[in-house]
Formats: sequence, C-alpha cells, structure tokens
Amino acid sequence: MKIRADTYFLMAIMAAMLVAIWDSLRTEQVYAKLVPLMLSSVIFVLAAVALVRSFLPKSRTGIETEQGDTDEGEEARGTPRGYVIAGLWTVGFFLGIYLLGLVLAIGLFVFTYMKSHGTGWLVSAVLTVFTLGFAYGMFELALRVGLYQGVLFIWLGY
Amino acid sequence: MRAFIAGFIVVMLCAVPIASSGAPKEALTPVEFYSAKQVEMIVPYSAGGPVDFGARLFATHWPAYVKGGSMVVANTKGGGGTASLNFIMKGPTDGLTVGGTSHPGAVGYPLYKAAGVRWKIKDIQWIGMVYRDVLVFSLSPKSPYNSLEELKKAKGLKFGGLSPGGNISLGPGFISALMGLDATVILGYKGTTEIALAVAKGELDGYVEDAAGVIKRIQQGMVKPPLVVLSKKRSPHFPNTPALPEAIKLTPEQQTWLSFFQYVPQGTSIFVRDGVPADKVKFLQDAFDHIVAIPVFQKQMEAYYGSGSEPISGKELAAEVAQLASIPESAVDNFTATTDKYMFGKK
Amino acid sequence: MSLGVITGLIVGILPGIGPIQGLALFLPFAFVLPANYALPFMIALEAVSTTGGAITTVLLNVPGDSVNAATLMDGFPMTQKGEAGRALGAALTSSGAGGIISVFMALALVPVIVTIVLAIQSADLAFILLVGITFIAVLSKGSMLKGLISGALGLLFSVVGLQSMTGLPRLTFGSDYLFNGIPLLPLAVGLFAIPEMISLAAGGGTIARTGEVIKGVENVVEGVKDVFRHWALWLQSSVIGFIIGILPAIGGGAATFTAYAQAKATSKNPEKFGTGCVEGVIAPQSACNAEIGGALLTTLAVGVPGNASQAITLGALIMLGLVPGPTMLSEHLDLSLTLLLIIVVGNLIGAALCLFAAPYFARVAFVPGRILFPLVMAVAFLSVFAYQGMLEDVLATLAFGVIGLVTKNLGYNRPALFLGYILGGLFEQYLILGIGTSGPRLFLRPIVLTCILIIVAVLTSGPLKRMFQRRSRKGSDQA
Repeated sequence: MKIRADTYFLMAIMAAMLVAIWDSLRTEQVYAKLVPLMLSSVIFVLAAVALVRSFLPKSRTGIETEQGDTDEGEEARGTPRGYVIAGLWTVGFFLGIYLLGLVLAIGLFVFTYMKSHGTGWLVSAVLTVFTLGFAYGMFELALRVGLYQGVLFIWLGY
Repeated sequence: MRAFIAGFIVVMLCAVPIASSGAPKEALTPVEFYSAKQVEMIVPYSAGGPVDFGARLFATHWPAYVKGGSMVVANTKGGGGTASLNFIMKGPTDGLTVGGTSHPGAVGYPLYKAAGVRWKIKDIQWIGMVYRDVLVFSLSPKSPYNSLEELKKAKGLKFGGLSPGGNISLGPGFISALMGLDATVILGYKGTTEIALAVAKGELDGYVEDAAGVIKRIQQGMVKPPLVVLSKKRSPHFPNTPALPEAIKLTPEQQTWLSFFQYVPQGTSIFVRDGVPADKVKFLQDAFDHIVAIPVFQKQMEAYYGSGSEPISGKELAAEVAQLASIPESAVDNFTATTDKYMFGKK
Repeated sequence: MSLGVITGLIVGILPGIGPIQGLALFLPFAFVLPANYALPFMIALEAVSTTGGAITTVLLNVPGDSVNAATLMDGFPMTQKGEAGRALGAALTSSGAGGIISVFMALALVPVIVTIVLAIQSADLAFILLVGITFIAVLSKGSMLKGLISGALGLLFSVVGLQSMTGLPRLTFGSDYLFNGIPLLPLAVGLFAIPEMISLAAGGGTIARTGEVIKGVENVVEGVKDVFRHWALWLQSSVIGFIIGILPAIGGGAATFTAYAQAKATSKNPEKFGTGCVEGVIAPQSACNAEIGGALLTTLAVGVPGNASQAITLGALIMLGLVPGPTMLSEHLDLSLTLLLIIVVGNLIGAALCLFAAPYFARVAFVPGRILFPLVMAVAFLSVFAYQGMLEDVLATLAFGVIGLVTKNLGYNRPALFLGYILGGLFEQYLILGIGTSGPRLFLRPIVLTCILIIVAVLTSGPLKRMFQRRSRKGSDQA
C-alpha cells in the first residue's frame, strides 16, 4: 500500500478537524458552536472518505470521472531540492524581517538572492536600491505605515 | 557566501542611517519630544465611520498645536475592535501610540466582561472625548406603535443590537426590562447603520443609536422620531423627547443601571495606556484642550455630528469614569443578567 | 478627477493598499477642499482601483485588492502561457466596460432602488450567499471530493474568531491574533502568490513557460477584442456584479467569484476554466467594477454604504452637508448623476491609461525568476505588513503559503477555499439574523424560495448532464 503525500495531508486534515471538533464542543452557547462543529465534522468525514478512496484501486471506486478529470495536482515546476531551497530562502527572509526589520531584511534578501543566482553586481545593486527606495518612500513616507524595525533595533532602543 | 557578506555590508551602510534617524538622544521635554515625532492614533474600526471621523479630524489639527509634529491614523492596527484595544494597552509606553476609540468600547467592554478583553478601565489614561452624545430609542416607520404605552401591549417585538456588552445591545434590553415588553434583542448586526437599515425595512421594530445619528436616519426616512432618551436629561437634538426618568418611574436599582449609560456615554475618546509618563499625558491633554477649541475644528465637528455635541477634557472624563468604580460589581452583574433575558439565543 | 484616477490605479496595483486606505489618506484633504474637488477625486479613486489591481493579479498572482482574487484563477495561467498581454487587455477592457455599464444600470434603477434595497431582508441575503457558496461545486475542476474539502475548509476558516451574535471566540485557541478571524490579505497572498513564486524559484525560468516572448501590443489588442467577442459574458457578469453591489455589506469578493462561477457554469467549454481561459478573466473583472456602480447607487439612494470604501465617501458627503438617502436623488439629482458619471469617465481614463502601459507591464512575465522572485516576495511581505501593521500577518502569510503550496501540488481547489472563506462568515451572520427576525417563516419568502430552486438546479445540473450524456452514448453505441 503506497502512502502518498496526499495521504499524509488527509491525515493531517483529519487530525486538525478532531482538534476543531474538541474546541467547538467546549464553546458555551449553541449558536456559537453549531456551525464550527458541523463544518469540522463534515470535513472530517470528507477527508476520511478521500483517505479510504486513495487506498482503493481506481476501478473499485465505481465513480466515473469526466474525460481529462484528474485528482492529481499541478505538475511541479522544480525538483524537491529546488522547493526546499526556495522555502529556506523565504523562511530566512522572514527571520531577517523579524531580527533586522523590514527595510534591512528586504535589502539583504533582494541583493543576496539575486547575486547568488547569477545576477550581475550592478543589476543586483540597482534593483536593491530601487526596492529599498520604493519600500521606504511609498510605505514609510507616503503611506506613513511605520515599517517594522526588527527585534535588534527595538532592543537597542530605536 | 561572499554575496551575503557584501550585501549585508552594503545594506547596513545604506539603511542604518535611515533606521537610526529616529534614535533617541538625551531626555527631551514633552514639547521637544512631540515636535520631532510622529504620533500614531490607532482607531480600532475601519475608516469612514463616526469614531474614525472624529479621530481623524483631531489628528488633522494636531500640527496646529504641535509645531513640527505629526499624527497619523492607523485603522484596525492590531487586528481591529477589541484586538486593537488590547494591542494599544500592551504596546509601548513612550507616548507615541494613542487610541481613538468608541468610548463604550474602551469602558463598556471591560465593565460588562466582554470576551477577549485584556485591559482594566483603571489602566486607561484619558486624553479627552472628542464628542459625546446620548442614546435615543426609535421605532421603525413600518411599526404601528407610536408610544411606549402602545409597546407594552405589543407581542413579539424585535429590536436590533451589535455584539453583547455594548450600549447599542444593552439599551433595547434595558428598555424591555423596564417596561416588561414581550421583546427580543437580535444581536449580531455589524454596525448601527445595518441595524437602522433593518429597522427601515421592518425586519426590526426598533433600536437605539446616538442622537446625532438618529437625526440623519430621520432625514433619510429610516426611523421615526425617538420615543425616549436613555439619559437622566433630555438631548439638545430632541428637546421634545422625554428622558427616561420622565417617561418611566425607576427603582433605585434601575436608576443605578441608567447611570451606566451616563458614565459610559456614546462618543469618541482618546487615550493612552498606563505607564505613559505623566508629563506626556499632561502634554497630550493640553493639546486636546487646545485643538477642540479651534473654531475650524468646531465647525467641522458640527458639520458632521450636528450641534449639541461637546468635547470633554481628559481630567473631566477621568473623573466621570472613576464614578463607575463606586458602583458595586453586583449591580453590573444584575444589570447584564436582567438584560440577557431579552437577548436572542440566551432567552 | 484625473488625479483620483491615477491615485486609484496606483493604490490598486499595490497589494494590500486598496481603495479604503487610499480614501482614508485623502480624508484630511476632504475636510478642507471644496466638494467639487473632493468628491470627484474620491469616486474616481474607488472606480478604478480594481482596474489597477488586475495588473498585479494577472502578472504575478498577487491580488491587488481582495476583489481581484477571482481573476487569479485564469489570469495568471494565461500569463504562464505567454499570453500576459492578452490577459491584461481583456482584464482592463472588461473592468472599464463593467464600470461604465453599471452606471447605465444604476440610472435605470434610480426610481426603484430604494424599494428594492428595503425589500431584501437578512433571510434573503443568507440564501443569496448560499447560492454563491453552492458555486463552490461549480468551481471544482478535477476531484469533486477535493473541491468540497477545499470549500468546506474555507467555510471553516471564515468562522474563526469572535462571533458577533454571542461575542464568543471560536477556534482561536486563546490567540489574540485570531480574535477577529483569519485576516483576508495574508490568506490571499499566502494561498495564491507565495506558492507561485516559490514554484518559480524552484523551477527557474520565467513566469511565462513558453520560452518565446510574445509581442505585447498585438497580444493586448487581442485581449480587447476578446471582450467584444464575448459581449454576452461581459454583460452577464456586469449584471451580477451590479446586483451584488446594490446589496449592502455583501462586498466585491462575492460579486467576482459568483460571476466567475456563473460564467463557468454557462460556458460551452467549462473544462477550460482554470487553465488560462480568457472568459475566466472577463467575468470577474467585469463584475468587480460593475459592483462599484451598484454600491454607489445604494449609498446615494438609501444612505447606507454599499461597500466598505463607500463608508468613507458617505462620511465626506455628510460633512459637506449632504444627507444621502431617498431625498438625495430628488433634491440633489444633478449631483448624484454627476457622481455616477464620474465612474464612467474615470473608468474610460483608467482603462485607457492601463491599456497604453499594458504591453510594457506584460514583459514582467518574461523577467527571469531570479530577479522576479525576491522583488515580488519583498512587495508581498511589505503589503501584508502594511495591512494591519502586524508582524503576525507576515508569519500568517508564510503559514498560508505552505498550505497554498501543498494544496496546489496535491490538487486541492484554492479558489473554492477562498470563496468559502469570503462567503461563509457572512452567510452564518445573515442566517442567524434571518432566523431571529423571521423564524421558520423565512422559508416562505419569495427570494429564499427562488434561491433554493437555483441551488437545486446548480447541484443537479452536473449529474443530470452526465446521466444524459451516458444515455446518449449508450444509444449511439447500440445504433
């Protein structure tokens, strides 16, 4: 019995729905708990059916699909390694935002990503400066959003 | 790796000056402090509503008092509603974060123990109240009833409310309890505009809203003129509409309940959290007193809210709110228990 | 007004900065400017913001505004096929045309709009929303089961947070962040934009997978022509958008997804939707601008904001001494018509400006991923932070990005999830209000009964069609 990624995902959904059902049952009033309870129960059942179906051979399901119908996802563009690396860059960017603030993290991320993927020094630097200028000019000055400063600067008292 | 180090150096060289432009130096007086800074006023609601309007108007006139300083409004920062108020109350104490909120939200929610509230009323330091108004009770134009006496004979009345714990929801419940009406307060509407629309449609029989708002609803043909004012005194907007004690004989306990609406009036109040230094609070209060006295400000307030709504200074507001502390908690609990009997889903 | 158009396009293009933020920034000027400057600016800004929003939606899979999310479903796949110019041409033209036709519909409804709005009660709104939710089944391509799981998950996401009726938090697990529910922009960006950018970074290359740079201008003109070729679709979607616009508090997101789902349900080639089909761009974009005309009519005629950004316009009108409502149309008919006309002119100018620039915008699809990925991620995270000023939103975007990537690669239906999220909370709210105000009699209301019939028709049409097809195949086999 081959366990695919979809199987794990369905099991995760079922586990999450059990937690949601438990939390809903703890809610005090009927009108508050009714809809979350119903929805999480329905999702649990649907996920269970999908899980069972995934283990059965297609011919046993008795369900006809339209021509071209498939429950496979979109064809992945890259390799698993490519996804992991892209994911790590993204997580690293977020950590940079958390530690150094939006402005610094954006500058660092844009420059280092471009440079490490073969973009020239000049193009990387120009686009980094442009992005920083856009971020600061549009959001901080024009829209007055007040960009996040980062734990480091908050700790330093800025 | 080289790219990372090079990038880090380049970015730090460019960006550190930007990031450090607001760095504090030696201790400044409040005037010096605010003249060089941007104050953020967090309004827990979306832009465009009456609370947002009053807060924005105040922020617009801030530079008139604080030369060189600025104040910007951030709507729903922190998540909106109670979440935004929690956000303000656990935020920095440097005096640069100010709350501009519905007064019943800031005071009423902790008073009536609404879910998710993480602040206490005594933690709030009041800067002032931009405008203040009283609640009035009005009926639908499709309603066959025209007086409180006629309502007593009615069956199956439906009034509208927002979420539990607010004046707009408690008001109809309070009136129903006083008069022993056969009524239900349907909670869950998102705003008084939605409730007023439901009243206009005949989906609801009546509701409460602040007097200035009801004037517009009457002009729009959405509601009838109000039957009673939820206050000890009449409203200047409706001088012919009786105050509640004039219309209904109240027991001492019911008079205490009515005082909740007096000490938690409708309006937009400005505040900072506890922990903000006293000299900065005083500066903010002085700024408030100055700004609300500006003739242009008063004219713009009147254009939006109508005449008869007056601002209240931070000190007066604090004294008024302090009166709540003298009311025993059991009175609040009895009040909510009595009004809960009329709330849909709790009956 | 021209300044309003330009500002509206800019705020529309910037994800996370929508017309509400744009109008809010303008409010201090509205306090001091005369009405004939302030109002045209505000109306024009709102009228074209979703037009600008279509650009980032189509090119980068980042919704410029939440109402543009439905355009993602076919707009971005068209860009991936190298047809970015065509997608932009179709999106911008249908936006402008939808906004313009909505004004004519508004003019036609002026005598009866108050009656219509006052006739629709909470119970009716609940079932109108249920019709929209039913379209989740229509949106499903591939596995119906996965489509239903996705839609139901979206519905569950929509009920997270404080329930307005009881004031009780649900599924927040004690988190203050979730108190007001799962926020819209982090969900939209995480679900749609992040997976595409990560896929682009993982696989390299450009957004367009053809490898061939398709000439921008011809492509754009082709997209413009598509709107005229599919004039019935454009008209149908504009009507849907306009009708939903006149219903207060429903919002543009419902309009665009409903128009999309209806377009798919009535198309001769429904299987092409979601793969980069121009009809899937025309439908939602027509609806989102048409919605604004309907919303403005309700704001002026009833005095109730037709959508969230109209609340700001309403405030400005009140401050200028005007009280929108039934008397507005009779006492200030000239002003009301002028404001509606601004939508027409604003849409014309906005669409023209964007179409002129579209061939250049379309080249983004051929920019290498090593350049595009960091730039788009930076803007996406910036916009998400600007939404509520919270770092938690950025973290939530990351989390939804993981969910989006997993669901994308495993064949789950992200648009169905998003539709469930948009409509679910509103449906629950109005259902409870409907039960409270109408009781069991709500099932006797004509609008409710009509909606139930539509729901039955939508749910049974697919299986019935398959049944007839099987029978006719059996018949022809036997012959």
